[in-house]
Amino acid sequence: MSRKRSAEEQLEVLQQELIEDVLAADAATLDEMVREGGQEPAAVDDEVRQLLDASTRKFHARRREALKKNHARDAARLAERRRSLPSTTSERRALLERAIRLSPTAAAALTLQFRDFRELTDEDVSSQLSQLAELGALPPDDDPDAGGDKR
Amino acid sequence: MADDTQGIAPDGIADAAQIADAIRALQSKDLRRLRVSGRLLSRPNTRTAFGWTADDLLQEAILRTYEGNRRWRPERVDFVRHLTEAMRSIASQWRRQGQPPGEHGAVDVGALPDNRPSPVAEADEQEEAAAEMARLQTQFQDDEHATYILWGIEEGQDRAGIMEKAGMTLKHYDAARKRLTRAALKSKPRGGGP
Repeated sequence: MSRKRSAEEQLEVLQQELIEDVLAADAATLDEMVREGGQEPAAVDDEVRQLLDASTRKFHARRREALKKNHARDAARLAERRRSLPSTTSERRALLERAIRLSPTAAAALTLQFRDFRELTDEDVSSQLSQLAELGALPPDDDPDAGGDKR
Repeated sequence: MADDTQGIAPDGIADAAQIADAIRALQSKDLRRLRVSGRLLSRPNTRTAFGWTADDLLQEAILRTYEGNRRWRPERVDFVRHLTEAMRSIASQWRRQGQPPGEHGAVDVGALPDNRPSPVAEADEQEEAAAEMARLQTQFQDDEHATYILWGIEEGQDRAGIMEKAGMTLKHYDAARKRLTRAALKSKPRGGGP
């Protein structure tokens, strides 16, 4: 049983029907349809082609802009994480030790490279902390375990 | 700079490179189909709402396809039909939202903050659509087959139902539809732009 359509629905169904007519039209009929709009078919070809090319350029420009923004955001986030590392050697070593104890990710990453924590140079500690910071694997500053851990 | 058009297309969805290839492969008849379809879906500015052109619709359809908001599956549908369907859907969305075309964040004259159409905008849309359908019925009052199509659409029938009820052959139906297409095209502003 069919339901009476609203005026808006009628217009949409009619448009669909007319578009089916356009999609089914042969080349000569299409040209007549173009001329109904007061245009020459060859001119329409150029206009539509230019529009499509401009749209493609617009898409790539938007995409480059988005990539640039993402890159800048990531770089800023990374710089912020690096900046927030402790300033003294002993504090950095304590932070790394705590990260290994609390984070399986950090422990796994370091165990593969260093069998003995004491073998790590100060430079190794800083480097490892930076990498863990990038992974988001450092414990938060307000970690209850933070106290009494410094060497 | 790295090529940003390459990518693996999941589920047969075209990536940017395939879309660019499809654009390059369009022939004159395809370009003309896109323009004529866009004109049928265009809408002039009215006293209550912004309108849009064939070019607005086509540009939006291409951008949504590239950005993946309107997915094109080449194995299921050809590119021209995909773009035409996308334009139809965009026109419907803009009409319902009372939203003018333009850059993201364009001023929306007829929508509530959550982008639903306001009751006033919705009533205006119904009024405009009713006036357009009434205009066509008047214009085609002496054309029996075209009138049956318009009545059938109003009554909620599909193509087969209309043909059956009116005793129309497919040839009659197609011929009447063609006359309606021509009339609709004549009523639109000329060209593809504003």
